[in-house]
Amino acid sequence: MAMESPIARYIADLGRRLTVGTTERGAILEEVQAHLEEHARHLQDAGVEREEAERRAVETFGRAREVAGRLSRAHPVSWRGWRFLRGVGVGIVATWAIWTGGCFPILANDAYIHAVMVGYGDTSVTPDLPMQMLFSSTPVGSGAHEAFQIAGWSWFVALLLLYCVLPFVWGLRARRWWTPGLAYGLGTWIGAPTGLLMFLRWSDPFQPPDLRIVGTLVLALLPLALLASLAAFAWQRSLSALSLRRARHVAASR
Amino acid sequence: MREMKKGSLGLLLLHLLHERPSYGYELCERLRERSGGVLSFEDGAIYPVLHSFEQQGIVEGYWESSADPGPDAEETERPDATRRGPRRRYYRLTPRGLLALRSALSEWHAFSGAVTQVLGESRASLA
Repeated sequence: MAMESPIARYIADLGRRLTVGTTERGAILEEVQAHLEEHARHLQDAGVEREEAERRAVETFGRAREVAGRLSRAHPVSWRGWRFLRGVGVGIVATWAIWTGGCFPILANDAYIHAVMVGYGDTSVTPDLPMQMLFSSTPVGSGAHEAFQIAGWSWFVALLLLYCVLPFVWGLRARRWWTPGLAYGLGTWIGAPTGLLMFLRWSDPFQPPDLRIVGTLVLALLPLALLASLAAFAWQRSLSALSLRRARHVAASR
Repeated sequence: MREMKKGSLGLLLLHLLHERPSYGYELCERLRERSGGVLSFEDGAIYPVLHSFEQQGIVEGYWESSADPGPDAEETERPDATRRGPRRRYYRLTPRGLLALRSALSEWHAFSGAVTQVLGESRASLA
């Protein structure tokens, strides 16, 4: 079938808008295409020109955006096997990226300002600082505590919200709300072993307090990821209720 | 009227599938034909319902080539069966779906009976 036919365009549009697994997408599109082609065939048998028949079949089927939304909600994504492992991997990478990307600018800027203010003046000192700052900014360093003392709660909350974006987005289409958050949170724990080390050394009086705080934060990130997934589930439920109310309003106004 | 149609689509689909297994387009045509054109939905509205039913185990979906009508079909029911075409996804009611249909029918009869009773009194007063 030529790509410019109405049915082909509709199938392509529907395929772009579906947020389901690959196997399910193929099956859904095949089923929809068979429906549209049969409808168009019946219209052609009744004497309608092919292009017009296809256009009518597509129009009767409904707008791709709405159909795709309803179909996607009927096909939640299963987070088993490779998808779960991929989620763990993304959790590791995201934790390092957000943690380091959030802490390093704060610490580096503060170190530079401090060096200038104490009167060193010689900026050749700073080239050594970035590597120390970089290590301290990572989840295995303790720089997050210092960055929080410099930047404050707004910075901290912003990073937490950024951290929660991925498990929230994944949770919108998950079959079980807790699986994306669990995968993402496990990635955090695996990628930032400070939390687990802190937990194991909890009663150690020689553990530095800033490392204890950082470790507590790492431990708390997994429950936070689960909360983000739960929020997505609740959001999904409220969207369904909202779309039903909107449909009623539209129907009543026609 | 639109909201009543929307709320009854699932019940109607289960009832039609109880009569015989069907695929999506055929279900749409049967709905329009049996209702005399009064009940017409956007064709795309039935697939999310069918897929949800399948997820819940209420219906069972299976693929069939449109040239091969399958064991449940009678020759007179599938005039297009000999025409070669893409494969179709048929749906049939499961035992769990039969229970769901009975429950939904019971609710519907109770609801429609109550509405009819109220409207009957209303009609009498408007006459």
